Amino acid sequence: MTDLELMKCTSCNSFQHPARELCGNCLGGDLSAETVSPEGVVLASTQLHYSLEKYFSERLPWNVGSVLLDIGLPVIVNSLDALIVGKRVRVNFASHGAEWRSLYAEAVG
Amino acid sequence: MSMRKSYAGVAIIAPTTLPYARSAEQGAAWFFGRTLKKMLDAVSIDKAEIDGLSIASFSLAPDTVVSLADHFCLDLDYIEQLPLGGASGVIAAKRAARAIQAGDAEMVACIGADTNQSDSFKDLVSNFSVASKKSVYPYGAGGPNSVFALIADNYMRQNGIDRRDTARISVSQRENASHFPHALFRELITVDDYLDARPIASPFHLLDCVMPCAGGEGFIVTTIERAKFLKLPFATLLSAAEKHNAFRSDPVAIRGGWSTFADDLYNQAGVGPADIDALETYDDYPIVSMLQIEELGFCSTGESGNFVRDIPLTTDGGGLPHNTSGGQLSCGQAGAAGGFLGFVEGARQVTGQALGLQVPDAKHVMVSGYGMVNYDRGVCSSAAILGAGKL
Repeated sequence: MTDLELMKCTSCNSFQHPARELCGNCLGGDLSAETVSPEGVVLASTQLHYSLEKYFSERLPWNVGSVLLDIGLPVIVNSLDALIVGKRVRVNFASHGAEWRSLYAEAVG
Repeated sequence: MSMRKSYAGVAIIAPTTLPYARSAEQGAAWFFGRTLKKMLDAVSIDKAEIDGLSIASFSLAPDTVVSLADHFCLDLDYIEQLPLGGASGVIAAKRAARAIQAGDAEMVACIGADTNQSDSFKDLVSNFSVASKKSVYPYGAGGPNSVFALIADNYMRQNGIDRRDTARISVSQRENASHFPHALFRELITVDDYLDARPIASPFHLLDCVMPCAGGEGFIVTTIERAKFLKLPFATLLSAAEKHNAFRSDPVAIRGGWSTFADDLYNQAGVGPADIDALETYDDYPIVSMLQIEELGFCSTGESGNFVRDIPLTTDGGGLPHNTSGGQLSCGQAGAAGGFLGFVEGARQVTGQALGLQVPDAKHVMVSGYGMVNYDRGVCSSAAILGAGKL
């Protein structure tokens, strides 16, 4: 898995996720991509048994979770495996055959 | 303590529910217009007397409140549109009350309404906000279920709450709904029905979720003087508050914004939680009602599980009558009308006009709202305490 890239404010160094037009902390107008540690811990998880989108409804139950990245940012993630609260995961953008890219988490080690 | 000024002199009249339908061919404007018509007929007020209009809707776009003013041939001094979803009913009343007090308007119709045409729910969910389109939808496309499932999973884990506890909200509301003529779901359910319903997004099963539908809810805000002159039963606004984007630093939302203003709300009304005769919370999920019960001071932090285990929540159960019309869990969620449902039912209860079971001698009813997931939590919280007006 490659490194995780997130948008970071060039003025105050705050990370932005989800993607924003500008920095939510200092309202700085310039953001740049920055490589960060992809690791974090699962805070909450759910298994979806229903989806409005064909891609997911063909792959139910679908795992979604909330992960607190080690850099201090909480993110919503997809996962191909069940997510266990308290476990460490590695997070990165992937598509896994979908038309869009989104964050996926996988167990560390 | 807040320096908020009193809402004295303001009356809420004509609490009105336009019966819900699972789906509809008509557009949102139809539901607004028919709700307004039903409201005016109920109190024999002429359309020409309405000089203010405040609305909330998800399916009205690209039309706005301006389009409705034109469509309904209304001559208005005050118009407002609130993109606040489940928080909109309380906030519509709060802001209309200020317009009334300032003399900007004398008779403000406040309406939440939505249609439910084929694919409109998917369109709504997939385009809810820029952030949700890019950053929530690609995570299972479960709509609000997935975001609230994460909030529920965390809250229940932190506070030792299980599905037998959350069941109490759904089961008691269904009992209330069995007496309410406009609820889409009126048949009684048991805890086992709740536990055994098909899974949707763990920990949620079907009876944790609201049914998207079409309908309208509304009321009129005017002066006490006018309500008395018209000899109409009226509710007073003892206190009201709103809070947006509170507690951003909670990595998973474990609070809304109600606890930031709950003390002020009680102080301004001159009552405490024990004086509340009925509580109408925003119940997009049972767990969200439990957050409101906790933050609005009916139990201490993290104790909502014990509260629902110990206190009967049915209208006639001798405990705290909660969501006395059955709430959205039983009535259905008619889009932004869901943000008005509790306020309308609260106004009916406190004026002795319940359509289902009446809370005897209800003097103080609390209504709370919660709305608008942008990324990982609801952003808008609101609450009000309604009093019984004396003719």
